[in-house]
Amino acid sequence: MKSKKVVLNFVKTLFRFMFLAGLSVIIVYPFFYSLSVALRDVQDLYDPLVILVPRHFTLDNIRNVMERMDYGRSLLGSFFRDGVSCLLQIASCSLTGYGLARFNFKGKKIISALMFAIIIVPPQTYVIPNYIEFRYFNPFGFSSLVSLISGNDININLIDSNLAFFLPAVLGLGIRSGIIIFMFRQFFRGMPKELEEAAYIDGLSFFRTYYRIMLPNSKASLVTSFLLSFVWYWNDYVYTSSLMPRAKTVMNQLSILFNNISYIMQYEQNSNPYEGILLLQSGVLLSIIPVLILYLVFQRQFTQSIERSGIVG
Amino acid sequence: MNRNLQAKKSRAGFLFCIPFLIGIFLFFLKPALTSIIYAFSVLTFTPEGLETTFVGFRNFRQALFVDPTYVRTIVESVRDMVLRVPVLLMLSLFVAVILNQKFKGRLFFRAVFFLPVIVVNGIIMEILQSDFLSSRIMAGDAGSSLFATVDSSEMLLSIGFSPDLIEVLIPFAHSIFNLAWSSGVPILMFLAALQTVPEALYEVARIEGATGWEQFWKITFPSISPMILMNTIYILADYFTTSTNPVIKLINQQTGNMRFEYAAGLSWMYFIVVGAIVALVLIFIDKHVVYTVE
Repeated sequence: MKSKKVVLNFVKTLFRFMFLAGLSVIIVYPFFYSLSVALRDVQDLYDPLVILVPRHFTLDNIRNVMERMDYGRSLLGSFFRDGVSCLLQIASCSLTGYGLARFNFKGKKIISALMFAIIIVPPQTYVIPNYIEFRYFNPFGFSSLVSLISGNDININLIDSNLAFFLPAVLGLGIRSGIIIFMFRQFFRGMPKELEEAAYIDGLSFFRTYYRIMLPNSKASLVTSFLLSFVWYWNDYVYTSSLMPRAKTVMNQLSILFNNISYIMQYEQNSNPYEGILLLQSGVLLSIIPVLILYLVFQRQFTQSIERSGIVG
Repeated sequence: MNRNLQAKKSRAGFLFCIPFLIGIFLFFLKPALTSIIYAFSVLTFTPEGLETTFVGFRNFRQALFVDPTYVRTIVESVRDMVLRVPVLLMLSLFVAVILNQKFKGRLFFRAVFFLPVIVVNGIIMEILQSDFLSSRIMAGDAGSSLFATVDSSEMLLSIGFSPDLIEVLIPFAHSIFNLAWSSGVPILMFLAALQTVPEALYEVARIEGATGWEQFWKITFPSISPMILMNTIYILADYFTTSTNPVIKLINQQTGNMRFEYAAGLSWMYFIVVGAIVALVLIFIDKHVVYTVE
């Protein structure tokens, strides 16, 4: 009886390990591929014996791409723009999500419907009108009013300004904000109601209850959404290419590099396609590494915060 | 007294949503309305900007009856979705449940499974696909040394699987890379939800003599059902709006050709299809979701 249990346990552990390890190899392989290609010399690409471990190590590709992408400044630009946007987005989306999760009011159904609408309408649908919106920024006719009163033509152009990212974020319309609001709504709805009732009895206002009781008790969802939001901003292409086409951000520089190299490979007679691969993979590596490091640094806190929240409830 | 609180609560709920309402007007409804107007017009570029001339349903008619690829692409993409959503949901729930268990190395595996969340992005995918060395790996091509699936169909046949079943299974084997990379966010959300299930419930169940299987269906599954809905919507939206989706590619191509009005028409019709599917899913699943309140 007991030995049967031991065998069963062993088989279970073995299967679990095989399943996880198998999928892990699939997930991790492209990273190793990028790393391996980025560190190679061109001659290694012709060598059929080289599969993952390069024979001639070199940092030339990386150095070359760092210069082309203006890496230092792009990195700073990315962290500033995406970090601020992400914090603003979390603040506004958790607020809306809480409102939708815990209160009944007129028009709630409409707001929920709008939330689903922004989840499923692809941003490509309104890229052009959105560009015009920011190129001639005129919220509720405000700019027109000011120019009417002052007599000067006031034309606010937010293209290539960080505000084109911050403003939608603070108003809950940042990148994939619908998903984040929905996530908060589902998280708050799943939390025990006794928490708030105790707070109301103690005389806390609605906003303070949200800020002092609900938010600290939903660390798992906060950390999860923070990570997702930051990464979605970091990886964004649709909004950056239309609203901040000249932005010094890592992903934007990578896409510019990609376009340049594709162009060269297509139209220049004596270009070497292998060199393009080396540069592009180095670019991929350089644009992944910052988020990867960030993730590895916060990984412990991240998983722990998920664990800790399990105690509450 | 109670009615007073109720009125206060409903006002507070509205106040919580005010920033979002301003935002949605400025950055969604207004541009979306403009885009709908585009869809019904012909655009001409003048020195003053874009000029729209109303032409009725011309753009839509062209997409539906003249364009040879549009309808076919949508139908194919919906068909893929029907297969993909259940598989992704089950895979990610399965992985999340495993990663939630206590065993050695789980932190390592968690880190690995969240990796795709960090790097999934249009440009990197495009670069990996355009690179003829790595594209074979991404497509699960038989030629790649690592994931050779060419013999697996013959192997399954000789074991005695029916050819019909193999025809369903093999595409999944080929797209295992894609599935593994798309499951990052759902796994993450399932895991966060699993962690919030109170341990006390399981203890009680164990004392009452419930098996692990029963515990899963009677405790775990209802507790995380809000996240099942959430993940279904996420997977749907992610699949339909990602830049590698064939319909989105078609729309981007038209935008690239400066045919904004046609691209707008294409995407609004696409939105109606996607919206109908999401609405159906919402109505169907939300009935079965267990919320702790209400």
